[in-house]
Amino acid sequence: MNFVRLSLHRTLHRGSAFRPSALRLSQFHTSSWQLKTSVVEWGSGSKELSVYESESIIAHGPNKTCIAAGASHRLIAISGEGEAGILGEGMNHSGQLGSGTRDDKWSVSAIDTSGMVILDIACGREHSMVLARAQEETQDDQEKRPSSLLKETILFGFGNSMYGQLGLGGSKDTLTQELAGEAVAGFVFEPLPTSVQLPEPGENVVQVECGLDHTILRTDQGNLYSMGWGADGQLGLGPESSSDRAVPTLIDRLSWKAKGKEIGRVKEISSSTDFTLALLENNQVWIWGNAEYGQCMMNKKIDRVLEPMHIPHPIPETETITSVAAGGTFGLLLTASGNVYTCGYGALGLGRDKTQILMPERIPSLSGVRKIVASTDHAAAINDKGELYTWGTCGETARLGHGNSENCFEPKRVRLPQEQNGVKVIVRDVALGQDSGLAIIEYDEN
Amino acid sequence: MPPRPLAQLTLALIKPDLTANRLKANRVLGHIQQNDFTIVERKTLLWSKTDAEAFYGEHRGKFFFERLCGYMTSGHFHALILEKPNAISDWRALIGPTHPPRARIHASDSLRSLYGMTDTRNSFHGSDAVETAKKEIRFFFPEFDFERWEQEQRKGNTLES
Repeated sequence: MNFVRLSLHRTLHRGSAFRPSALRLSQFHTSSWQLKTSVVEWGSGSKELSVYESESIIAHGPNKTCIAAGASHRLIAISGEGEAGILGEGMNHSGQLGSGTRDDKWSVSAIDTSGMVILDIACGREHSMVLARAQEETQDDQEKRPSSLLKETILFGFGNSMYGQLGLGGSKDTLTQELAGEAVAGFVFEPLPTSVQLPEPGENVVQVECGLDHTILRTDQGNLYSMGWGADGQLGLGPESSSDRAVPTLIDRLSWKAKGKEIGRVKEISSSTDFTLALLENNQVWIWGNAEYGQCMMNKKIDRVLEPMHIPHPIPETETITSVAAGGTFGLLLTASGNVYTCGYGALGLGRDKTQILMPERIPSLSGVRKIVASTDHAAAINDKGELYTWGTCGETARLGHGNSENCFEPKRVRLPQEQNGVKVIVRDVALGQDSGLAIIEYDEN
Repeated sequence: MPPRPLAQLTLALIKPDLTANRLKANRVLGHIQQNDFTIVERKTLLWSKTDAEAFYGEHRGKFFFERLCGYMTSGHFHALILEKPNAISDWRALIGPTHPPRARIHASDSLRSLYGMTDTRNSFHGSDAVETAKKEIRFFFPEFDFERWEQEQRKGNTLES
């Protein structure tokens, strides 16, 4: 087990002046029957759903816990007074667990983040991004420090950067700018959490999303930035641009300080695999990246969308879109009425006979939905009763969480381990990776 | 006794996304052995853009050329020479349809269904004909001695019959 400490000092993580702190592993592994919040994990070839309980998660509740899963790794971030950290598990070929090393076996890691609140985490194929800010301190401290400091966020990246997806300036095209990772000729990776700089100071990232090999950032000033692989238009940088970028690069079309001012502010982005959906404050939906299965919702297939495109009328005008979720070969839309619409290819949730559509259709068996999540080949929804549903293709990873490897052509409810004892379980959040899934749940043991 | 069917060679690639996950790559090597392929030669490579463009030169100009080369330069990968009677068609049957998302619905036992990722990251390659196999083996294993291998095949067959 390697311990790494994240620091609010932006420059600490470049170079070797870096000393892991003594994080007590036990603080994450004690369990007690007074606990009411836990994280459930499934997939990666295991037919069992496993429960991950910790006093820290219980003490701080579901709102201080963040989860994310990549192709073969997953992260749990716990924020709060005293005990705060990121736990990683999975493959670590590129240092995507952030432990400061890389290796080729199933590994675990722990990153100490005390003094920080983790706002968002995201995992790509072999890279990880963590968005943090300083923890609010005591009244005295707050008086001494300007309040603006608490709005200031810091973005950390670690793992693979062959395409430049960490935004740290290094990629296979710019090998001269080595990252801090141990030398492997021609291989670009960063195994230590390292802070990512936006082009201009004073702007703060508020949301981070990872595709398999790219990263999209949304800032407090209504701007979007992208980095990583661009061959399918994943970076959305314009009709002439499909090259990779190794630093955060402004997406002109949808950024407030560029052409986006004429269009509207982006309020949510969702990126997975090789494409991105953006939801604007005016409820418009935009897309860029790979759309060769018709996931662009425009009644056609487009090999690659190099610049963000408005999706004119994806669903009936009577519905208001409140959330978007990009998968691999399909995309999802959630409406204010709790309906879920899907479009593209795969086990879409519309039955075995309907695996390709070019305009969104409502998934009839889902209602009252309040959250949607999508990965390359599968998807999840949480309804207003706190029930979790998954659907899609499965395979031997058992990634749908149903304890088997069967494809689900229609949404199926995930039976959580605690429910076996007749306990009522509320699912608060869910994250899907290509091989595994995670959910934050609350339950009443009585 | 009828002569033993003549063995054939094919060039197989285990591409970067799969090579990056050693647990899965090892399971694939298990599938190769269970399906009676012999691994004659094997090497691990990391390609430059120039290397990728040389191998995929015939696809230059197609919309997927850029992403194919981008993918194949994204990490280390394994090149193998596989030997078996009907190695070319047997290996292509084992890896399954080109597109993993389709394979997961229509050919769920194929290697691309089990271990492939996306259309671009389709995780496997197999030569499509005798001539291309020879050409591709020469590309990856210029030192491989075809004549000697063929002689040994004939010798083995004569001894058995």
